[in-house]
Amino acid sequence: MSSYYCVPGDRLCPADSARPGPGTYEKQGCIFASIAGSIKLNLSENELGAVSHNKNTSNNEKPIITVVREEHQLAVPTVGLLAYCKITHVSPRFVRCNMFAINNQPLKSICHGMIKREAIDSNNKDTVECSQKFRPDDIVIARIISLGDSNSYLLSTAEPELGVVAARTSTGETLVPVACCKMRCPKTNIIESRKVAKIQNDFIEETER
Amino acid sequence: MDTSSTTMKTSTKNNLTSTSNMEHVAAFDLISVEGYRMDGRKSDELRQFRCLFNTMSDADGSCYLEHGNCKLLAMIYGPYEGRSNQEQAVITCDFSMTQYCVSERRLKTYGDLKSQKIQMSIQRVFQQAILTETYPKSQIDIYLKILQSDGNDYCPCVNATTLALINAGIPLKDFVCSSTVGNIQGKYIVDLNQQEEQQQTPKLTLTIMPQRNEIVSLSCESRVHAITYNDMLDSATNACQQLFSSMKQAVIEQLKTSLNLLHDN
Repeated sequence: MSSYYCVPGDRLCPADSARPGPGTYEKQGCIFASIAGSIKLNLSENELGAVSHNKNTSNNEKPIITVVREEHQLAVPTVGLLAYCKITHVSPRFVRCNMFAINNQPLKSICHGMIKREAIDSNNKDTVECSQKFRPDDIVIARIISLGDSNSYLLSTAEPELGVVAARTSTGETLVPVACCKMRCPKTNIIESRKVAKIQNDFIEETER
Repeated sequence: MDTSSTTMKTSTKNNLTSTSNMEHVAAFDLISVEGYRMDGRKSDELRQFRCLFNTMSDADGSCYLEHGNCKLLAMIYGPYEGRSNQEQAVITCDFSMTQYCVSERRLKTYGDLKSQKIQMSIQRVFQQAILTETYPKSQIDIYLKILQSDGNDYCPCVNATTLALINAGIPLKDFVCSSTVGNIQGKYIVDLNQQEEQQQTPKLTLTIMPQRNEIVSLSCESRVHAITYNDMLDSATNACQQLFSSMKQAVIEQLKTSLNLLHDN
């Protein structure tokens, strides 16, 4: 992270050496900061890709200058993104949870989510029992499938990569995943059933995007 | 007070515009022989400046500001989707005082002429300062609450609103700094407190954008000589610049701590 901080009204650079991005504005041939934050220079996408095509237009060669505030406040629940959530309530028809992070960015405030019974697992949809898939206090990765109603977002774990990533037994021991629907306590060897997430490498890249 | 008015009447017309006559109006010395004011400040010294950010967790941006004895809270809500269909954001301002903020208890603390005046001027100042075209069809609410009053309420309100807006991350053209200057006993004294404010001497309130060198608002309700006026304007600008440097320092310090916290996590 750059250590250059700026405040609104700071003159950043002349307008012909960069393009104003978010958090900046242009006036009288100069680029000024409009919010307080740290300064970042991004090379434009055209430049990173095919440079040779657009050499005649000088606009594409300029980097974009932006001012970035605290990044974690930018996370907003959007359809299609992955959410980290903690199960709060399990009922026969649905599971309620609190989302605390979206795509590896913590949320400013906790958002309420709901996983319906049909959206828990992709196979044997009709015979799913919520209590056999999640327990309160499990940490779950789920995909936001709809903005839902005013109370909660709708989530889904109907993919092999989605589901419980961390869980504890009733005595507080950390469970270890052994199969796609089983987790074992390392001390007592008791098997508990969960919808376990099968985390793969390319999936980790997606969440870190 | 009676004696002062008779001297004014007997004096010639030219004397009315000069400030030398005003010296005798003051009932007691506001500036000591050594050049210190009642509260121990030099004539060009500001009151102690202190501010805290994120004081209200519910608001999108908030700031608690102290200018010496003046204490106030500024809260920003928004930008949220407003009812208006305008191309740029609408700014509303709500100014209120606590019942205990002045020495005499007041039962009605809002809606009077003074607070309406402050609301209007804050609204106008920040309609200019905020890049309102960034948020079409939306609304930004400014709430100001005076916890303890010390003379002029308008200047601390402007400064606190600027800091709260920066805290909320709302794009501004520049800082907005406001300060007062008075001419007491032939000296230009800045950042008046209540005692100095109550004197029958010329006062000037200046609001500027310090980095753009633009005057946002300027009010002078008394008659002053042209030379005096220019000097007053100069010292008011200096006071605003001083204020700006302390405001900037506070913002950057807050920024550093919040970004460092983020980095550590």
